[in-house]
Amino acid sequence: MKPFISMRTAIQTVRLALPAMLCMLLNLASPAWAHKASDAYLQLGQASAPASHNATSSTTDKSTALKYSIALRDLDAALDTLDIDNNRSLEWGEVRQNLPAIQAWVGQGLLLQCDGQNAPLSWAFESLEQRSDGAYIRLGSTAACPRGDFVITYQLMQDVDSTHRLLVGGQLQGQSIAAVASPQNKPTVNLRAASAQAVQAVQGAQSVQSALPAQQSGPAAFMQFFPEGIHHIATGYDHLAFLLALMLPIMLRRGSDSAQAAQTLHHQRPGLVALLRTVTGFTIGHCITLVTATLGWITPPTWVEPAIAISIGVSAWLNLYPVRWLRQDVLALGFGLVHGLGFSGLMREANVSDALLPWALAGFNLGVEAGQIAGVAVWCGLHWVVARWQRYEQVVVRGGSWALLALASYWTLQRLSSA
Amino acid sequence: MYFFYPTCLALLLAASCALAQAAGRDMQPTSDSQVLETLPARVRTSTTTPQAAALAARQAITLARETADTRYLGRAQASLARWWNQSDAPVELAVLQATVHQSRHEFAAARTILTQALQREPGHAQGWLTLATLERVAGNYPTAMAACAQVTRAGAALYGAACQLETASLQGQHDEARRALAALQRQTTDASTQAWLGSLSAESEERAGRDSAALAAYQASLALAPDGYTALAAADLLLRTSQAGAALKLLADQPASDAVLLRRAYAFKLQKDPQWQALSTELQARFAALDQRGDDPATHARERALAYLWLDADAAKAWQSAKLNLTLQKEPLDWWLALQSAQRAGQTAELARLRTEVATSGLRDARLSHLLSAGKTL
Repeated sequence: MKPFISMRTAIQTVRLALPAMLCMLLNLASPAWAHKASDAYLQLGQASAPASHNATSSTTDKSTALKYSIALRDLDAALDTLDIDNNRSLEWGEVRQNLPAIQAWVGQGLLLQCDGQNAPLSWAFESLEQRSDGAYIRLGSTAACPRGDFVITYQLMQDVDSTHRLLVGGQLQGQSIAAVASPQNKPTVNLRAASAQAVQAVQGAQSVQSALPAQQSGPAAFMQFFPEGIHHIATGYDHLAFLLALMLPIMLRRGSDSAQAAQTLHHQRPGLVALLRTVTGFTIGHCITLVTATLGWITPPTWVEPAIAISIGVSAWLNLYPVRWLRQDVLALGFGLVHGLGFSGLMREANVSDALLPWALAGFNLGVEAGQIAGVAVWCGLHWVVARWQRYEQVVVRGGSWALLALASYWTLQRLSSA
Repeated sequence: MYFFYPTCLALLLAASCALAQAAGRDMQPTSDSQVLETLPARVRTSTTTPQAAALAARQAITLARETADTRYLGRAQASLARWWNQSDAPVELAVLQATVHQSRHEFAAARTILTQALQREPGHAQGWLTLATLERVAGNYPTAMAACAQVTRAGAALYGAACQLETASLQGQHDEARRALAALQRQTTDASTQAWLGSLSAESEERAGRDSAALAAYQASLALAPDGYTALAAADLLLRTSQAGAALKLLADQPASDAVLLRRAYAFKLQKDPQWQALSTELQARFAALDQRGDDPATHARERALAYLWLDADAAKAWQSAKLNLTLQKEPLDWWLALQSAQRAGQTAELARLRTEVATSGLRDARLSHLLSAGKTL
């Protein structure tokens, strides 16, 4: 038995490695295309350090992650020492040995002033990047600058390239930002001022929102969050896709073959029971994590979104290549835990006061269940109509699973690349 | 059926890989000897003497032309920084600044700098030659002719003559241009000069409506000395005469500038090869990046108009970009682009106005004739 299993695992590993291989081939096929003048990129976002979910401190304690990317071709012009052997071919070893010099160079030319004070940044190598016009190096730093001006001064490449720009993007405490700094003409940009109006608008909206629940009764909070729950599942295609992946192989009704007609009722019951068990498993799973994460007992890790996408892919894969000992309802329970963490994001952002939280949570959770039941009902109806089709198994179950697998792979890649 | 779904999956994955790449994809080097980037020859940008600055700027401009990478124009500007926009800058450096502007399609700035520099030193042949090019591109043929005469007066007789012949050919003297350019080619033994004269001859033949003679002249010129500008012109002829495969072959070795990428996409589209869509997406990403930088949209309007016309079949947008482009440059391709998109967009009044403008400019080009005859409005 043992050799057989390891061989099958080996084949699956090869198949799973296919996406990575495809990306590599595509990369080789597309040469580095230079097209525009030299740009470096500064991407801002929330630092991944665990943040407190306490409603009052969550907006002020977050530190900002800064990610700076610059083309190796530009770095070569700025740092004479980069191409150590001077053979005009830049190897990883040369970049690696130069990392301290690169970090120091970025440190002296990319500065942050927070609320009028110099905020020290300490840059560390993160990764190499392939962009449309060549290879880039990315350095990262974090900064704690919760309020006041957020001023970036950019002086790198000033003597080397007169048209060099720093394109700033990403999010600063939930606000989308976009700015351009030019070492020659406009080396300084105040990112907080740039988004100050938007910040004020949002703060205004938040204060209105948080003022409302304070005067709200518990049932009112319930009624406010019940439709939120329905909306969340109706527009959360990934949760619906996961449910569909679970439900696809369950036969509620046999094909149209009249010889089997007598057996229809016989088969129907286990099908229906299996469906109920699976959907209930998913519900129990996501209830547990939705409640615990909303109450702040656990912190959702950063891999939740990719993991949700992967759960869809795994379920679809198991429809195509079933593993006998793995029970559908247990799988639903396990992955339900992951999806619940995803649901909790909205609740955590809502900043509901402690007194109303149980009501809001109940409303949201029951809304999610209602949306889920509606989804299951629609599927049952559809299934009832098309299950008679002789090629149902081939087209709907297998085809649908392949389609879900494709969708899940796409989402996984997308979420991993934006993580 | 068995292979259908896996194939779909593979295609979807490939598409998402391409999307992820456009933004910037992490790569993990596996060994110290892995090559990350091939670097061009090192160009000094920190310069103290005008001579060193001129040398560095010239090297950087050449690099920008060879690689179609405009970042080297920024480096050229950096090496000229001490003299940039200085009214007392050495004329040699002012002319180089104008060349940087011209390469970035900042024609107005280039003209201002050149005019001032040539007042200070009227004997600067390169300055007059660059000014003549600017005037010709703007469709000011008499002014261009005068600048060409100054090139000859400054002692560069061959360049002055070629400059005049090119300008005369644009105004319809195709046969004379052909004979005289051939004579000039016999006067020189330098391959790149011969190739340049040959490309002028090829363009003249194309304007005369002699496509096969033009193609032969382009090919002869490229055989003498490869040149990106000539390759693009030849590719345009091939695309216009439905030889997409030959155009792709010709562009295969060219650095993928926006102009080259656009023509590759169009050639694939003509061949009904789905590769054109990926290239079109890449081109859109580049345009978006230029917008993000805050570049003047007019300087890339020609490529945008062609993309709307060839790839998106959106005549209305093509016309908007073509109109903007025409404020910047008025080469035959720019007139063709404006006429074609105005006609497709059903801009009857604008079409009539364009026809009058072409007639006033004095341009004679067989490629425009079917768009200029008022009888055909659609």
